[in-house]
Amino acid sequence: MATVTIRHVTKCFGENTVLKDFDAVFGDGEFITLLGPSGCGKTTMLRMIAGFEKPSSGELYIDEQLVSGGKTFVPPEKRGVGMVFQSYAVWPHMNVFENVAYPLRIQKKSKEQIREAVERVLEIVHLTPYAERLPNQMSGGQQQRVALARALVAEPKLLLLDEPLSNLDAKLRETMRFEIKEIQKRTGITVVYVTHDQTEAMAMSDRIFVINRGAVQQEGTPQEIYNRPSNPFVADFLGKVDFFRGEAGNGRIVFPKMGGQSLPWNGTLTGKVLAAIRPENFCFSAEGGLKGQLETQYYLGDVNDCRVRIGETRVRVITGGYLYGEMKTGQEVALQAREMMVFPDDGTLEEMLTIQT
Amino acid sequence: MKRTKIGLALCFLAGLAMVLAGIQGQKELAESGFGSENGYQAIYALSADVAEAWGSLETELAELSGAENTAADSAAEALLQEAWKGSKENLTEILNGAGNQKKSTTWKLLYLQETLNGPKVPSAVKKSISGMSAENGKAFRQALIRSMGDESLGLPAEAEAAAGGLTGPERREMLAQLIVTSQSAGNAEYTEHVNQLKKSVRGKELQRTAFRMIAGGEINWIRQIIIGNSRTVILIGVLLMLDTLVLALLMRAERNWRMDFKWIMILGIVDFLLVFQVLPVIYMVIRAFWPEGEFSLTTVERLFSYPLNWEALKNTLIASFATMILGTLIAFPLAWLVGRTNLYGKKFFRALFVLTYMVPPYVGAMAWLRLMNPNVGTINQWLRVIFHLSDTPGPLNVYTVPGMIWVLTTFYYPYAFITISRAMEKMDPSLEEASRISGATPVKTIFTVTLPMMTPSLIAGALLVFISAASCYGIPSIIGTPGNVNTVTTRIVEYVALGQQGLNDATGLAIFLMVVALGILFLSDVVLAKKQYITVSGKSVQPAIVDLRGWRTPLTILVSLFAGIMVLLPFATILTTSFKIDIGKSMLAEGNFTTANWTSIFSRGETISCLKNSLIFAAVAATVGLIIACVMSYLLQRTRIRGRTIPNFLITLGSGTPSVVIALGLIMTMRGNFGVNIYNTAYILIIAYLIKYLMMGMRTVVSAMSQIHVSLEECSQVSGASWLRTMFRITGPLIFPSIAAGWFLIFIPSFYELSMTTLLYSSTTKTIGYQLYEYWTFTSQPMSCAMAFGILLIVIGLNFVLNRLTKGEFSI
Amino acid sequence: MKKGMSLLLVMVMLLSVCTGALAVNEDVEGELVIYTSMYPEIVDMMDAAIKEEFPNLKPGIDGSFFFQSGSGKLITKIYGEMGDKRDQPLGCDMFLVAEPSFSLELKEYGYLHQFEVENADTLLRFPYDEEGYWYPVRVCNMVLAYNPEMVDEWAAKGITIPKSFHDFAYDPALKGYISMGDPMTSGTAYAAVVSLLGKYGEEYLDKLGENKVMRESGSTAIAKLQSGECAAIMILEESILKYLHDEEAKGNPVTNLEVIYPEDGVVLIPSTVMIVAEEYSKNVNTEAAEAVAQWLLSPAGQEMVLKGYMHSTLAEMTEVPYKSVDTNELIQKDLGVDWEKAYRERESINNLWTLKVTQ
Repeated sequence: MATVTIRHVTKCFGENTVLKDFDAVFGDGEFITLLGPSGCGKTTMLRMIAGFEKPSSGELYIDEQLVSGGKTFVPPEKRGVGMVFQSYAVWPHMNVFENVAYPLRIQKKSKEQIREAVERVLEIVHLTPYAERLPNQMSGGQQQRVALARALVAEPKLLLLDEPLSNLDAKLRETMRFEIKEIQKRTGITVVYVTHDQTEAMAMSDRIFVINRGAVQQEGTPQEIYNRPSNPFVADFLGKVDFFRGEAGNGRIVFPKMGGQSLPWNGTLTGKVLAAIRPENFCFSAEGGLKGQLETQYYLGDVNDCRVRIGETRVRVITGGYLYGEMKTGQEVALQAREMMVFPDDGTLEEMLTIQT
Repeated sequence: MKRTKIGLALCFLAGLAMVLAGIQGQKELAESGFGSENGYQAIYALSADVAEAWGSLETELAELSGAENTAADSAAEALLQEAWKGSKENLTEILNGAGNQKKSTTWKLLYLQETLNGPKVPSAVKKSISGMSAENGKAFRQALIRSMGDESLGLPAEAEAAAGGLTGPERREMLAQLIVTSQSAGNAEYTEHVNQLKKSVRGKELQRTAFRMIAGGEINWIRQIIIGNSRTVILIGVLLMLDTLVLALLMRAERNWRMDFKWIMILGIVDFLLVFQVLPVIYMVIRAFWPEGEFSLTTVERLFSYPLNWEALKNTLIASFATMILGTLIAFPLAWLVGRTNLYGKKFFRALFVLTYMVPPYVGAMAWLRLMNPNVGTINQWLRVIFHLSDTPGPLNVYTVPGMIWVLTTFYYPYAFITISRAMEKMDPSLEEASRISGATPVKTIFTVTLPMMTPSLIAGALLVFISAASCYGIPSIIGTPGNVNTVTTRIVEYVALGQQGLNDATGLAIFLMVVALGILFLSDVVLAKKQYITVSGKSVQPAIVDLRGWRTPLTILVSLFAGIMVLLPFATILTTSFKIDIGKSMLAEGNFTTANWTSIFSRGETISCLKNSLIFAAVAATVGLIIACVMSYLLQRTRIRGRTIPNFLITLGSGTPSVVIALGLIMTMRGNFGVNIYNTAYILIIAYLIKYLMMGMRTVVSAMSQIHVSLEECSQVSGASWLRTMFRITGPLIFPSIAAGWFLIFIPSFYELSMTTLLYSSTTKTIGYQLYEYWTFTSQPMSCAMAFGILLIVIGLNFVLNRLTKGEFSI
Repeated sequence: MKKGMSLLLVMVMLLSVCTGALAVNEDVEGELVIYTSMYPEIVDMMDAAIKEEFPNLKPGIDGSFFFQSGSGKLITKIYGEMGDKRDQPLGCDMFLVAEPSFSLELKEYGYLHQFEVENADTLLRFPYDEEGYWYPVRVCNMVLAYNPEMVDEWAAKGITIPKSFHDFAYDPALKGYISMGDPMTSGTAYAAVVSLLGKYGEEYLDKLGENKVMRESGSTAIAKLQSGECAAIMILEESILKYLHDEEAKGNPVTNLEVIYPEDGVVLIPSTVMIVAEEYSKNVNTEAAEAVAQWLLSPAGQEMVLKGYMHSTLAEMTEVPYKSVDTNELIQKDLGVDWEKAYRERESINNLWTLKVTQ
């Protein structure tokens, strides 16, 4: 129910610049994810929206109202946002009902209203029978849901989530992912979600901002980011990808480390390039393409995760599990690439891919 | 597992054996009538000495003729008979062996007899005798022996001066004495052993028994150890039995029969507490309730038949509760402002607020006396001017219960402040942030989230304040007594001065205080048990700073005002007084400023040695105390052993006991009656400090540990680290700030401790606190102010140094 | 020639007598520990003097003969050492502490050693124990004190400085402006109270209570005189004399503190020397103890006493401590203390005090 406008926000802690010139608009009802490795600045951005940090420069608007910038600063309690913390921050000295009711008590709602709202929201998170429980008698997942309920109970215009699922086990994570998405669709609330897990980001977001070392690398829908990453980092961070160094020209890219073999390509770049190919975009072809040997196959049930040796390079290929029986390890194979992303190679690849925490 | 069980069983049996041996030893001791166990040690030592002396004497006698020998032997025996006349020990029986046996016994007995009871040899003679060479000495002695047997024979020159004019038995005695002197000349050890015997065997009759035992070589080293140290042996035996029993029970309960180092540590500490803390206290309790051997409440009844004592009780309780509440009320907001907001000058205030407890209580009391006495108190004078009041006494009167409460609060609130600050810094800020984002203002957040979460440390801090205030003596005696405000502690001291009966009364009152302390502790544990607040999780956190915005300046001003009144004003008074000649006039008055007080104190060698003593004792007490605190808090928080709160109770008991009573208890129990004798040593001082101040350190550590999630330690254990390693590498560093705070909470009061030191110190263990007290009572107040301020500077300096060394981790 | 020879002989004899006398003190050996409540500086001086006088006598406690502490604390320590059945040995061989009522108490417990002082009746001008269990060795003097510089200020408030013990308690104008030591914890204050009780009866305590007398230590009281908080204090003369001496030694002449020798008399409190009985003493060295006691009662020892701002107990001594008045004059004015009463009725007197003054 609110938009968030971030105008050229920069944040420094002393000498350390944690966020460089973040400029974006989050639309009303959008599910925005800030995605990136640890220390990239995503949590800082979230906290600035919440009001726990002040931008070093730039302005922040929530629903067209200036909340941080220049001389203005609206404290967190006046921003009308809900937040779920990574550590849940469920108060141990209050039971579930009290925890969730807290924001409404602050607003001095009547007993009736509070009861109604709390029960409603507990229903949404499937915690109705636990209203009288104390947090230390509940599991992590349940506590997380309490935190979620608390954040939603006052029907805020904006919901902020700081890596809320990182402490849960895989199955629960999946369930909660869908729950949160459901709730968002139903209530139409604007969500800003921070995570380092790209699966979460892809599954839940309308738009993703990929952040690395304080700078936004790319912003777009999951499809855009996945299929058309703007730089090797994004390509690598989302999904799996292999990089191959090559020479582009004359409609082809030659891969020196593949024994000089090449693939057709009609892009405009020439000279030294990095070809980024996702393993699932390789396919075994009867003829043409890159010729090599099938070194290993990892059968994973639904997929067959292969390694093909082409010259000095090992290429990862992910293909359907049904192919496992049909190919023999060691046999000669040929690979075609359905899609190939090409970037200029300025020698910074390794450095770029090193996660700086 | 089997090995452990066998080992335990063996230890238990060993302990039992020791106890039985010790009891037997005690029995023999009682039968023998020797005054103390040292007698046996002396006898053992002397047996060796005498045997050696006889050895050389024997060769010298052998060189004389047979007739001379017989004459000498008879003379010796005659002397003995004379000296042993009427004695219960039958000399004839003792000497009834034949030949050489009789000879050696006779001469050994004579040797001892003369050493202890012989006539005095003039020192000039002694000097010349001890200067003799071995050859001359031998010749000298032989001449004397001959002369003993035959009076007609002449005397060597040196002997002439001493024995010249004597005849008969007197002469023989003197000659014998000279022989002994010559033999033992320059043998300092022998003199030492003889003195020891003298001190522990009093009375002629017992002496002769001792002589017989020595001459007969009746004590071997085992008996010497068992009888000579029977009480210590019993004590160790009892402890051993107790330890093995407890250990066996614990292991059975936990079903874990692996011997772990931590058991040894825990048991060791419990033993330590038992001997040095429980024993004196139990002793005092028995004195009070079993004065004549039968349980009676007469002491208590009599005590409380005096209205003055009821009043004292009332005053103590009121003052302590009020101080506790006021102190916590002050400490909490200050801790929050200084630790969690963007107040101006946070670091400065933080350091400032803990200063007040770094000076001895009576110095602080004196400052407030100067400021708030009704007649000419500085603050009163200001108030009179500001509010145009008439020149009569007031409006503030420090010699009242409220006055006393005020001074107690200014002095003790830092305990609460420190405990709360530390815990606050380590609290997970997201708990507060969640409240803020839910719409609560920072103030509301304090009340709904911060305060409830800080309850454990709040209670810990409050408890410290209460108990310290209740058992404080310095402040009530300076502030309360002049205004006839009596407290339990002042009454105790008054009773103690009354004589033997008074000691029982004093103990009775002291027990009351101990009971109160225990009651409070019990209550607080009950309350706390319900609330398990884990607030330090695996993530390292930066505390969120609350922006005070518009309130920043006003609050800073308020806090400064507060700091000014509570801290700067009294310290300024102390400082200015230290520069005055005439207390009555202002420091700036003409001719009234002097630095003489400062120079004279710090140029004295004595000050330096006292300083050294204080630093060492206090540091040792604090370090040992911290180790105990850590182990104990581990016991309390991380184990499920039954009875783990017992050491906790014991420690609190100690802190709730007034210093005088602790000192008395130690004097009465640590002089060897129960197997431990550390009287007049530095150890007794250190132990006294530990007993009194251990609780400070412990509570801080305990409340810190309670806020750490056990998973942090479990993780370490799973990684293969032993218990000790986990404590050192994981738990320790996590609660390091609290450890540091706890260390200082023990160090500082020990550093300038007074009441116990005056009763327990000896010349080489003079401390700076005692020195200060000396200046206070015997010299001049300006001088004691200079010293007090000097102490303050030293402590601040120490804090600074430690802070630097540990990069900001270790400080108050 | 003969004259010369006899002169030489006389000199040699004299010499040998002297050395003999010296040799006597050389003969004193063993160890000795003395518990005392005298001022630390005096204790240091005495310690050095005794070491010189008795070269073979070993200091019994860490290089010194003395263990020094306040008299109240010292008595506490002694009680503690005696144990509850009063049968434990003590940590010392001699006492130089407190006043005769304590000596009477210890004598009754059997903790004292009898010894003779030659010609005690002519030697001493203060009472001593006939049986030889204790002798007075130094005299404290309870007097009043005031601040001469503030007389006018007090007069402006309608307060006159009292000139007697009587006025001290009875003058209602002094209410809230007087202070004295606490008889519950200070032996000398207690003695003074007993003495004044003897002179004025229980009414004196009533009056003290009505005048709201403050109870505190000596140096605090002096400070209150100087600061103007109190108009007059009851205090030991030696505290004042010491203060005067210390300040003047530093070069600060004192004009704001002066002794008042009360018109109705002073309270002289002799402090005794006692030797611990052999069975309870630490080093069992009664000979040395006697020798030291003898020395204390000699002019040389009494020199130290005078340096400690106390009066001498020797009849022959005409010297007085720093800036004090003639001792014999003081003896004339002495109000006296009934020591038996002070000992036997300790509890009831304390109760009287608490009843009338502190409640």
